[in-house]
Amino acid sequence: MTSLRSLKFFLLFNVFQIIAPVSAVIHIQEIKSPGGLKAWLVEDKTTPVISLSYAFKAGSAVDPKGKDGVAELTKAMLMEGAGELNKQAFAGKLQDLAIDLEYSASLDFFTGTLTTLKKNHQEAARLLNLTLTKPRLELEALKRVKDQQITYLKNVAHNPVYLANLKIMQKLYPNHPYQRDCSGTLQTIPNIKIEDIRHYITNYLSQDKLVIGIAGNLTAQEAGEMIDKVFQGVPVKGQVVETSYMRVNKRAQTIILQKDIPQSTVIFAHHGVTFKDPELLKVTLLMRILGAGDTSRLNEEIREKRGLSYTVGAGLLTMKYGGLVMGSLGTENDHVKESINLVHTEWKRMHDHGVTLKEFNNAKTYLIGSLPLRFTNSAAISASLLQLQYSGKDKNYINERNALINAITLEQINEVAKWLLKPDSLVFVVVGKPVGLDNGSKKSIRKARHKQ
Amino acid sequence: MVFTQSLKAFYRIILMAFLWNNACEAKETGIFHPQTFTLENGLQVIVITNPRAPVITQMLYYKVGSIDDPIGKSGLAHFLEHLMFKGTSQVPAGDFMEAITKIGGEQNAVTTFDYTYYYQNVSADHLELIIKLEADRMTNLALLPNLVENERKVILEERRLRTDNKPASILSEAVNKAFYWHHPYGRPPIGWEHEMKTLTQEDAKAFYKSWYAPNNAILIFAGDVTVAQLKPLVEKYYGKIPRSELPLRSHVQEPIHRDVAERLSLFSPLVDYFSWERHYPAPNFQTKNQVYPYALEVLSYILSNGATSIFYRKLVEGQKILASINVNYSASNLGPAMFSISAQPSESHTLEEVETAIEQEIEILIKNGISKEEVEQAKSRKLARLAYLKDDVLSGAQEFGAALAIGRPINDIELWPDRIKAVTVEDVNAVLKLVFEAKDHVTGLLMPEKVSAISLQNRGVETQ
Repeated sequence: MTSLRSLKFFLLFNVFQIIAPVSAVIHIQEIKSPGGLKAWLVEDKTTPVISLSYAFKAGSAVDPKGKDGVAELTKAMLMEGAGELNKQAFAGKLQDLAIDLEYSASLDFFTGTLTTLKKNHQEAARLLNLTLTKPRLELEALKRVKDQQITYLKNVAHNPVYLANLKIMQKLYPNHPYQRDCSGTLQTIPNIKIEDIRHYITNYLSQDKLVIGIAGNLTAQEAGEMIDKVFQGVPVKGQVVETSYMRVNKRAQTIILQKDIPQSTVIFAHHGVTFKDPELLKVTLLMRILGAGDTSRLNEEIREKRGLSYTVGAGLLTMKYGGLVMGSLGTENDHVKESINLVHTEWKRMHDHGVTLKEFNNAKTYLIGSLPLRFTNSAAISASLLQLQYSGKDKNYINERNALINAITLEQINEVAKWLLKPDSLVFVVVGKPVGLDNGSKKSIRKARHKQ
Repeated sequence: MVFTQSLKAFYRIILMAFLWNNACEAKETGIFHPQTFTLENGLQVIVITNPRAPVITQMLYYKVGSIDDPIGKSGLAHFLEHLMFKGTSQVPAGDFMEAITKIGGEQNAVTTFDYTYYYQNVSADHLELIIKLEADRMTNLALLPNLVENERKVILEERRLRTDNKPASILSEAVNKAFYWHHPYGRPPIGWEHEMKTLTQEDAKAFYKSWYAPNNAILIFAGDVTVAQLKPLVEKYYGKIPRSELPLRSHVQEPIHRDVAERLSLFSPLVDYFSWERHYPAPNFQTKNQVYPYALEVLSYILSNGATSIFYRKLVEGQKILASINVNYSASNLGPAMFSISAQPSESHTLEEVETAIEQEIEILIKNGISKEEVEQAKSRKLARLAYLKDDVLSGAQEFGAALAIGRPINDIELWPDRIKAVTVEDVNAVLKLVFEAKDHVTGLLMPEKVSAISLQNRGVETQ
């Protein structure tokens, strides 16, 4: 009898092993709350935690002209007390109940994450609702929050990575909201008034812009009740976001911001794709080979073979109204020119000759194998549910993804390399004291091409 | 202070440390309920089973860190950590990274003062592969000369990125040196630049041969894996590596500082803000009074954890002198620990006002003490977070690694909730006095260069 039982166990075990890689990912339910809100849910009875991620599709890109930083300050002001609770009482309650509530603002989204233990989820939902519907927005708090933001801006004022990112967005997105600094500036922060924060909340944090992902220990019914509680009283309709799509089209150039530091930060970019692009999976696969991770071509040529940089890579900045292929490296001032040439050479090599079969196969198995690592805790799962939804994916996408990846051909990837990679419009921004480089110079790049 | 093989995982480490520091409600005794076994060659193995998702982590801790860098060879432990990715006699350079990457895995390594660790996170069906690869590089490292040359350039770039490019890091390196007169914690784990340039293949080889052995390591697994699955694989790959005779670790004692306080300042053209920090000597887990580290953990929570903490409430929101304040304390060191405060003034205030306000608040605290309510509230708030540790499949491994690598027992982690519960208001006030009445603290000031010496004197800041 014992042996029979163990045989049965053995068989079950094997069945599991075989189906695991295909379906083990996550099971997504599409739910509609009694109040009519839609959300994606991944239920897991084995955890004591519930995580709710939500985003309003209106971020810093809707900050009024001259008032950059409104969304950023709103993020802070929502945590400065709400309803009957002043800031101290509110913060104390979150700590007593071990509730984590956080807001963040990006160019396209105003995002919130609530993580709570199941036993406290009703109160957590109430507190979160208060921040959205009855934030106190006191003048004294705004004064301090603005002051803290100015201190932050002074802290990053010479940070080469911060400066390089800002510069490249300004260069690539002139006259477009994407050139803006989400953090605001020393000039704009003082201009922001309490009415601006209120205006942003009433007009942009509305149900028609909402995307919701929930993960953890709750049923579809409980989830529906919870989100109704969280978002009741939030305006049903808000202002339409009127940002326009922008296609970046620049000639190759190098912009230098002089800073007396031993290592230059180099950021480079050209036009890419939005997060809704139908070719996103293929583009991701290609960029994996060019610039992501320890085995990418950029890492191989610049770090492994030559020791020029500790961090080097390239990937995608995907936004709603535009997108960039973007990379960065940091190297001693003497080696900036050489490093830029190498980036350019690799860009052109991949554009002209595509990728190898081995690289192609490794990138595919990477994309498939790495998926479960995106779902190791509730907050990570709810965040992924959010991302999948705003990228326009179907709820079955996650289960179909592996098949979609496997169906991609080498020829398709090499086609993507041709239209995506544009060595002739790669813009470099260097912050540091690079040796032998001039502002706007394309000489180094020509030389690199010649060498090839 | 940690230095990593690559930057991305650094943030995960910070996050994990954050979860842990803010951890934690146990109705039952224990948190992770690990299982453990030891191989004949001395390798200690810890297994934390959590089948919530089909993933696993393997972490291998070596009880060797930057404190073991020979004199004149600072940065060697960290350099070797980098070279551990450069191929073995069995697995050529590049193949290790490729093997992990092509299965979608994450991997990295970290060097601290006291220990060095390596980890991989992969989907659970690749267990044998990561065991095989990690065991292989415990004993078969190739250290080819040209790869060593290139990697030396990489660590120098890492140093520029983390330290030389950042005035705040340059100052904290100097502050650390001032805090530890003689103990090797005064040397940065990444190394001093001029010594890093002299590190050779032979240095790395000798260090590797001396310290990398199964009897000097702790192997930890967390995630969707059981001891029954693991044990045969661990025995097969790690079991065949012979134990080796380990050198004695140097136990340099920090001399008594005899009330010498130090002030260091950096005026930098690359700084537009003002920042103040002070570091006090503090007990660690090696201390005789075993309650102290836990009492200090509670104290640091009361002083600076979030908007409700004493410092934030009184100095940021109340007096409005500070824009921000942080307290940092970790007892998890072999050597002497630090209790640190760092703060920035709000826009209309000066560093002198910051220092005075913090000193006055500390005086009030020493005089009046922390109340029992505040201590109980802090304890229950910390314990309330404990349940979150069950939510992350891979949690636990790092906590055990960090503890066991400095010789603490498994129960130090498992009984953490009980130890926190046992902290009394008297304990908290005792450590409060112990730390803040010490005169041998080190203060660091970071300021813009354009602030002239005269205006600084007006601001009451000492100039050097």
